[in-house]
Amino acid sequence: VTESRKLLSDEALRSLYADTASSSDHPSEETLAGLLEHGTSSDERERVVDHVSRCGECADVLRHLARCVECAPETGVKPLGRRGQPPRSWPLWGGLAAAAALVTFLAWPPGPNRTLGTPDPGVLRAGAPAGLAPVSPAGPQKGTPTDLRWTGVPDALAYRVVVRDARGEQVFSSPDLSETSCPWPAARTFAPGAYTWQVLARTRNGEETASALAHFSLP
Amino acid sequence: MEHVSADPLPFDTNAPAAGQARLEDFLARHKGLIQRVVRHVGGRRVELLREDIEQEVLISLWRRLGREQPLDLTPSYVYKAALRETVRSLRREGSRGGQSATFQGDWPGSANEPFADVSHRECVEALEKSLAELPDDRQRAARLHLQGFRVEEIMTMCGWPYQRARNLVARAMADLRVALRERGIRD
Repeated sequence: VTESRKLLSDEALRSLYADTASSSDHPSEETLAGLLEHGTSSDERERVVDHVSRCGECADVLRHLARCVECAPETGVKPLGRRGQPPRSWPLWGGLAAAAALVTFLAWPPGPNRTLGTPDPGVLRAGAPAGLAPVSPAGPQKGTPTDLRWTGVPDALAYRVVVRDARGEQVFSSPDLSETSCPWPAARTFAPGAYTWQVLARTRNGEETASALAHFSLP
Repeated sequence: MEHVSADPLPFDTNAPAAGQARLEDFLARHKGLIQRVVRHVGGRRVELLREDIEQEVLISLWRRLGREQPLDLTPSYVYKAALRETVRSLRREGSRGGQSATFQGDWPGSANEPFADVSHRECVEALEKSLAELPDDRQRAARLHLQGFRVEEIMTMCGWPYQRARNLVARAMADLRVALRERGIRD
């Protein structure tokens, strides 16, 4: 694993972009909230989206409006996660991975106030290999897990795992791994609550594919 | 497009005292709302700074709403305004701590290395140039993805079907990485 590979990860690029994305003359919060309503494209919408794509402050405001379930009654903005728009890529993920996700979901259904995390869009291409699936942790945990384990795929060059909190915010991303397990990041503090995680495999053709999401909760 | 200023205008000190009293009353009544916004936006990150940030947001909101008619300010409007001011305060706080507001990465310049600032600036320039070379839709998809938006959010904002949004993000990020490698940031 080279340092430069880390530099091209989504996280590192986002960090770098945060240093370029700044602007002034911000659109109002009402205008930003309007972007979360479905509608036909217009010049005004394009201008606002263009601003948000380059302005870290407005992006922070809009992301919060789009995701905060607790804020919805006060802002009148319906978080996107509640609109029941599952990614259409789900059927492409392969039977086994989908079945594993379904079993996990049925065994430990999410509560009404939790927004499920979404797969890393940068890695969703042709769907995950059928064998790539999280094993543990899954479901409610009695204590801190010792590691994250998954079933691997033969042509994987490296794996990495991503853990997200109940709002879908990434809280941990591992370095590249050659094994099918990752020690639990003991140095980080995880609040009690619901989390999702997935494993990503980089294959010989240089592409990354992502497993289905696994859900677990920490006491 | 309706705009808000980057820096709130100073509160109008010439406003009639009665108007100021009404505004103070209004803000006092909304203090609980401001506390909720700071708690929702900042979460545990601001545990130790919560009161300072609440105060900062209160003052900023005071300045900003001083230009408005308090009776026209709905709770939803105030909440969103407080949200903006909270985000602003948190970003300022992040800058003071020398960190990105969202993530501290491994790019040159994030540590005290010799020439770190120069290296970091070069990386930022390489990223911006690489983004600028992308076709419009891919550039927009990549920028929104780098801002941390999910595919569902990008599709809604841009009015794209999910599949199109997903493909644009994936292709744009692949193109971006190729362009960055060509500028010397290699695997």
